[in-house]
Amino acid sequence: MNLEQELRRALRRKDPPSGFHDKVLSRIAAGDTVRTRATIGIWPRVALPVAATLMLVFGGTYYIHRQQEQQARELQAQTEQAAREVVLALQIASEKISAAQTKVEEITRYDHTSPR
Amino acid sequence: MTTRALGNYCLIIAALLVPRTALAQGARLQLDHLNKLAEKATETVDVSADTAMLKQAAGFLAGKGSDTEKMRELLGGITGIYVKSFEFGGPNMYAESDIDIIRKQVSGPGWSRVVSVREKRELTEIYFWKERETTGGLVVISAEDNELTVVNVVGRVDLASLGALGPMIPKLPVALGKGTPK
Amino acid sequence: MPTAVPSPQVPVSEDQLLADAQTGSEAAFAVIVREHQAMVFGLAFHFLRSQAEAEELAQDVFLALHQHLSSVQSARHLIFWLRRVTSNRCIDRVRSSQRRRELPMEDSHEPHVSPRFGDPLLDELLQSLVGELAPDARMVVTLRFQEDLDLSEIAAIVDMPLNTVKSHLRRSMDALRRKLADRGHVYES
Repeated sequence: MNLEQELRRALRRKDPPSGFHDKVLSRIAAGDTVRTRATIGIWPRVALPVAATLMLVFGGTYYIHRQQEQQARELQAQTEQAAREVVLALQIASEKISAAQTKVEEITRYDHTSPR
Repeated sequence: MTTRALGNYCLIIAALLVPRTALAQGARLQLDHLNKLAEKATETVDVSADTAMLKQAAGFLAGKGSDTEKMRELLGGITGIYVKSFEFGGPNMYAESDIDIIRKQVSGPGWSRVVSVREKRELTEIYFWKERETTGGLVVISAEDNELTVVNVVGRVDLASLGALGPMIPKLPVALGKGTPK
Repeated sequence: MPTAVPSPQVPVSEDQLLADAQTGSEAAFAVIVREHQAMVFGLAFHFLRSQAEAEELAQDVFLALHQHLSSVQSARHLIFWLRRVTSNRCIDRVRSSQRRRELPMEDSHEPHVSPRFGDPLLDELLQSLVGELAPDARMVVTLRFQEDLDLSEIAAIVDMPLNTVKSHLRRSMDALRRKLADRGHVYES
């Protein structure tokens, strides 16, 4: 497979979790609305100086947050490696069992078709 | 000492003398004797996934698509997966005795061999472990000239789902045909 | 607002479905949601790399569709509209987000991958690497490979010049090939 084919597979359309459809219809029935891009556009002009002030005030918590993020990334890496190993083990098991089945089928076919 | 007490004493001594590698705890095998093969292998896969690691993996796989959901469902009944797989640069890098140590473990109560296929240079054996009509484990031994793979799955193994990861049948027949067991 | 796109041949029933939804049929709208939810959610998921955020964004897209249904001119336009609004919302969300999403290269770990069995998490790796691209490039790549769109269609959806889209795609593919090669997956150009 080339990279384009791999990407088509990896980025294929994905079903949302079950209940998504019902949630959308419920929100519509409840009269929920969403902001359009025109109203969203007003926000950044107001938010920027506010954000700058908040950053100064809460600067100290930023370092703690960085540490927590680092720990979270390490845990994520460990979890990913665990998943990788488990999936690899399942693949190997599946491959070997499949190979055994193929051999059994070949033998059965041979036994049925060979002259008596 | 009475005869009975002496007999019990001998039994205890005998149990202590049996090599640890020969004992299997239920469906879980001891495979550490294969570790020495890593030195000679060009590639080694060594996975020891216990319940905690499987839970971690299942958590990671959650919500990542229908294929991984199938794997996650499969993992639900499994309490351990142990794989030792070695690929060598040439033949005769492992001994038949390395496999015999495993066969000894799967000859005990609860174990039954369901597949044994031996062709010129390839051997595949599959064993199930059952307790009270519930399949609680599986062992696959695959031996070729330049490769040895042992897979031990402990727990409720859904073969149909495991097979869905690749081509598979729901039920494996009792050993037959050219690989008929010795 | 998304501009109209000339509609080629589409099954009559799709246009009828849209017409029914536009005249107030909630049942018709429900069918529209079901038909297109995988596309909308998929785009959001592959872009945002978070199921929860993708679900929330996808819901918002369909709510917005319900609000602006009268402006959709045809079934073909509907698909364009959904892709356009989903793309815009994804990019807006990332640009306004304070949360760091990309894994800095100095912190990334190199997982052990078996040369014999390959990487069993290749799809996950590819999704993750696409998720590290800059927002505009990420959306170009996602639209290209999830929706199999040609570059001019992508340019219309993301409102970018065609040459910019081409450049984003070329550079992204080069970057992906380099990062994959670092991890033992070699693909030829």
